[in-house]
Amino acid sequence: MGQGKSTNSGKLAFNFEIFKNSFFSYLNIKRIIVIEVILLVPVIIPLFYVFQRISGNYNNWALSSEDAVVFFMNNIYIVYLYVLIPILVAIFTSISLGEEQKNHTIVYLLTRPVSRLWIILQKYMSLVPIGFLLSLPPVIINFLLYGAADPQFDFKTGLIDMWHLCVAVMLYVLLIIAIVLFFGTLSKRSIIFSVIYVLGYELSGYRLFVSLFDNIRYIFGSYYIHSYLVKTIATVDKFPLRIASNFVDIWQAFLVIIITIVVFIFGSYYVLNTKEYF
Amino acid sequence: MCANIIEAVDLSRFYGKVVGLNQVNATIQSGITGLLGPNGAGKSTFQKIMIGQIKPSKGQISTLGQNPWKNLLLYKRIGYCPEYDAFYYGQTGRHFVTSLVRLYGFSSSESVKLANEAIKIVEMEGAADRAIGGYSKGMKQRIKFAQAIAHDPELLIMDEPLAGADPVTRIKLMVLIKDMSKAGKSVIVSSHVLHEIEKISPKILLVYQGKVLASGKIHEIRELIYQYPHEVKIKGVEVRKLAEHMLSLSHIQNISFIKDENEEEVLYIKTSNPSKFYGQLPKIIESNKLNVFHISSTDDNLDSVFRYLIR
Repeated sequence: MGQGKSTNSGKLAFNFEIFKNSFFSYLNIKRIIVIEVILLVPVIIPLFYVFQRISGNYNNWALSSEDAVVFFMNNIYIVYLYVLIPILVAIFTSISLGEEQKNHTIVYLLTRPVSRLWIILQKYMSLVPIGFLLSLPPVIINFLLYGAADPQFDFKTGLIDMWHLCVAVMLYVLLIIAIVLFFGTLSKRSIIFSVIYVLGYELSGYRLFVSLFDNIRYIFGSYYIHSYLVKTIATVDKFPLRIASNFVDIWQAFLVIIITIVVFIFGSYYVLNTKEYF
Repeated sequence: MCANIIEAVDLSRFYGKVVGLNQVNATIQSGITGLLGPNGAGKSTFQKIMIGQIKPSKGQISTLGQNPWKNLLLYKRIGYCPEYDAFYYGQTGRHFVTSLVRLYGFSSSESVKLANEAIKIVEMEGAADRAIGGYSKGMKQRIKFAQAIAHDPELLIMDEPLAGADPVTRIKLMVLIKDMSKAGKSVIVSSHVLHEIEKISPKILLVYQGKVLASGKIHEIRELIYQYPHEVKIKGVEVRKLAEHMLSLSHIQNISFIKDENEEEVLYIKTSNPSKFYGQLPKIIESNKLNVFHISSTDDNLDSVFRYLIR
């Protein structure tokens, strides 16, 4: 009997082939165009509203900075952050392992000497740039558009706000990918799970999630720490209290989200390691 | 080197109340071995247990002397060719094979070299840079074969590799499987068609309803099976012309046409001598330049033999 050609027969394969293949498979031009069009719809409609007000009801050029930001935060931001981004990221994530199961190609991954954890991590990493690519440009463009509508717009404060928003969106995207990837290990119909998750999150999860953040402050007694940090940052860096508070909120959210991501990634690993896929 | 490639002791696998494998005791030695049985007999379950993708409910199995369940390092020594069309359809054939070889831990340059060698072996050089989505069934079978052999495994496990393939691809795949054996590899091929297995190897393991009924006595099985007429399903552009030529053959018992779900005529031929039939069929197709793209054997006859065997 012949011997295999394996040059490193005692070791598992460790390279970025799954990451590379997965990442490039998502970069389908037609798919990206469709998604960008979907993302532009909620930008265009409120823009009509803004410019109608600019040209018709107001003699000055723009809404006030506060109006623009509030309008964005109350309308566009919510549509993006809680509806479009989760659904789009969930769909892309579902494609990852769900499609592998549907097309039976998962057989190739599972019959190779590649650690199951490494498979999950590569799949996860391949989705992160796509998630950011989908979510960040529309958020930045929208924010700048509404900010630029006001000649008095304070770019220093505005950019910090936008940066905080981007960090929050990135964390949120990272979380969604981890959760939906977990669904993907469970079922080839993970897209259904994902949509249920997103809708469920919209209907009830959001409130739970917000209250979870509040509770975490209590649990760790960090309300005082939070206030202290906010005041310190506001004093040292001369930031308004609102921005300093955002900053601390993001770090607290970061901690919670990272822990959740790790839990879901290990959950995915556990399922991939124990489930019989074919 | 281990003489016994596969050793199964009281191996059982249940899917709830459904029995996949039932107390199988079998030993498979090096060389080519055919797993023969009708659809749903337990062949695929047995093969998936061999490659560690399904855990036995009871009993034990060793593949190349090791327990295959979650044994990732063992996968380096095994090549697996699945039954179904499992492809990344946007990829070219060459990309498909190369990226899958990379998953065995080879460097990029080594992977390209090994993939090219495998593609050459399966005679797919001409189509290797085309997208898999545009491949014919035969080409898909060959590129699947290439990904299974590219890393030069000791053991090749193939699940119904000839199913649905055209006559030319069938012959090519059979030759490739024999070549693997000549190169010192062990091959386990499953099929529900006896004459296919017979042409590849004299060693068979007869599986039915989750049990191994017999092993290694292909001539006996063959005699038994040939008491029953063998039905073949053929799809093509000019199946009526093919039927005309077939009518003159003495072993043809019945010819019928049935329209499939696409309203295309499908030719069903019953023969009392499958060996002769499969020898003559490629010649008739070639000499009359007929366009036939699908040949498969319905396994009703085999099923009846198995039912007879377990009585």
